[in-house]
Amino acid sequence: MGGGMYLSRRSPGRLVLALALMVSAVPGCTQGSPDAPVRDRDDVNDVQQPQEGLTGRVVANDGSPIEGAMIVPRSLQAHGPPIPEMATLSDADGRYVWPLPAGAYEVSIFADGYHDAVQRADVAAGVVATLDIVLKRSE
Amino acid sequence: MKNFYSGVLVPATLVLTGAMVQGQAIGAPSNPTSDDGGALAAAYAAALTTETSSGYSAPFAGAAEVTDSTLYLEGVTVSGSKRMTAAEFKQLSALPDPGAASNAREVIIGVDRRERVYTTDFPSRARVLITFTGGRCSGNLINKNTVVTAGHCVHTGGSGGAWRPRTSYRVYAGANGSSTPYGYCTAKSLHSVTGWTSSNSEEYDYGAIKLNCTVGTTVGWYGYNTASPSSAPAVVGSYPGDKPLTQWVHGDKVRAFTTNQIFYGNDTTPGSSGAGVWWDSNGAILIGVHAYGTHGTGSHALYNHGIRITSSVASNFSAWASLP
Repeated sequence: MGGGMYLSRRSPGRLVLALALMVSAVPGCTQGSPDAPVRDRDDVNDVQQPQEGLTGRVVANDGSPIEGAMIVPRSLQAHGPPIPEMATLSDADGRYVWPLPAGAYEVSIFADGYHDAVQRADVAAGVVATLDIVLKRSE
Repeated sequence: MKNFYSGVLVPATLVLTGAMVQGQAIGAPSNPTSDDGGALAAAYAAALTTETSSGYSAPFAGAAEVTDSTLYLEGVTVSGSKRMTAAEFKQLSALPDPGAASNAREVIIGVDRRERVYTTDFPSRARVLITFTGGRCSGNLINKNTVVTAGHCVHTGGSGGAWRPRTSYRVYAGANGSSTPYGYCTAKSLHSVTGWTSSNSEEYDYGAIKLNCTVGTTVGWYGYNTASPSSAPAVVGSYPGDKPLTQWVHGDKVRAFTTNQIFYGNDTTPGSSGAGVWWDSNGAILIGVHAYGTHGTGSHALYNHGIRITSSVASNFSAWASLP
C-alpha cells in the first residue's frame, strides 16, 4: 500500500503516472492513505517551531546556559495524551523545544552535575508556552 | 526484495521519470554495489536475496572482522572513535551507571529489568543511537544505509510540524558510552508518512533515515516481518535517556495489538523512541517500532507501545531501503 502511493494501481497511462510521481515528490502533501510516504527537502534545513507546546531555556543559577539537559513532561490529566519517548535536550544556549498538545504537565529536568528539578507547565490550545528553568549545581 | 512499485509493471522510462522528479535515482535493492568492499559482496548479495515473501526481509549479521579502514571505505566517520575490547567493556560496565543518579521515568513497568549490552556483537551493533539538534532517539538498521525509527525522531508531527534539522543528525551504530566502535554517519534524507507528518497520529509514528554511509555492510542489519504478533516474544534494545549513550535491552512479550500498534511490557524511557521491537527465533526480526510510554486508557495505559509492522509499513521500509 505504501509503495502504491507512489504509483496508483489504477493509473491507466503514462501522464497519470507521471503526475502521481510528481505529487509524491511534494513533501507533506496528503495523498489519502496515512501510510503515504513523504520525505524532507534537500533545500530546506527545517527549524523546529511548533504551533503548540513548550519552549524555554535551562540555565544554572549563575545564568550560564546548560547544554544537554533532558526535559521530560508528564501529563497531569487522568487519561493524558501520547507523549513521544524521545529524549528532548537543551542546546548550547540552553534552549529547548517540546511540541506538546494542550494540557497540564509536570516537567522534570535532568542534567549531569545539577540537581534535578520539577516544575508545572500549562499549555493552552494553539500556544507555545514558555518555561525557563534554573538548576542548582550538585557539588 | 519486495518491489518498490509493488505488483505493477512499470516501464523503465517512467521509473526514471519518477527518479528525476524526486531528485534521486531508484536502484534495484537486490543489486549489490561496489562500495561495500569485495570481500563482503557475496554475503551481502545473499542476505538481500533471502527475502522469501511479501512483508518479510531477512537480517544480515555483517562482517566477521571490522577495521577502521573498512568503515572509512563505507563513508563512516571514524575520526575520534574509540574502539573497545570485550575486557574493556566489562571494566566499563562495572562502573557506576551514568544515569543511576537520575530518577526512573514513568514508563518502567514494575521493577527496572533492563540489562546493559555489549555492542560489538550482532545484532546489538545494528542498533543505533541517533542524535540531532534538540534530542536523541534510537533506531535499527534495515539495510546497509537505512535506519528505521519513530516518526517523531525525524519530524515533529502534524501539518503544523517540521522536519527536524537534517544536517545536525549523527547516527552511531552500536554506540557504547564514550566509545563509538563504528564511528558515525550523517543523514542524507529523512522519511516518514502522512499519517504522522500531516495527522500526528501515533498509529503512524514511524519513519526512516537514509545515511551518507553504508555502515550496515559491516555491522549488519535487522530483518522485519508482518507476521501476527500475538503473544510473540518481544525485545526492545535502545539508548534510554536515563542511561545516557549506553545501550540497554529488556525482553518481554507482545501483550496486546491492534491493526496498527503493538503493546508490550518492556521497560523504556525517553530516548528509547525509535527502537525496534524484535524477536529472534529466526535472527533479528523487527515486528514493531517503539514510540510511546503509557498514557490514555486501555492497553495504551497499561503497556509501552509503538507501531506494528503491517504490510503497508513493510512496503515503506522496502521502498526507503531501495533508495540510494
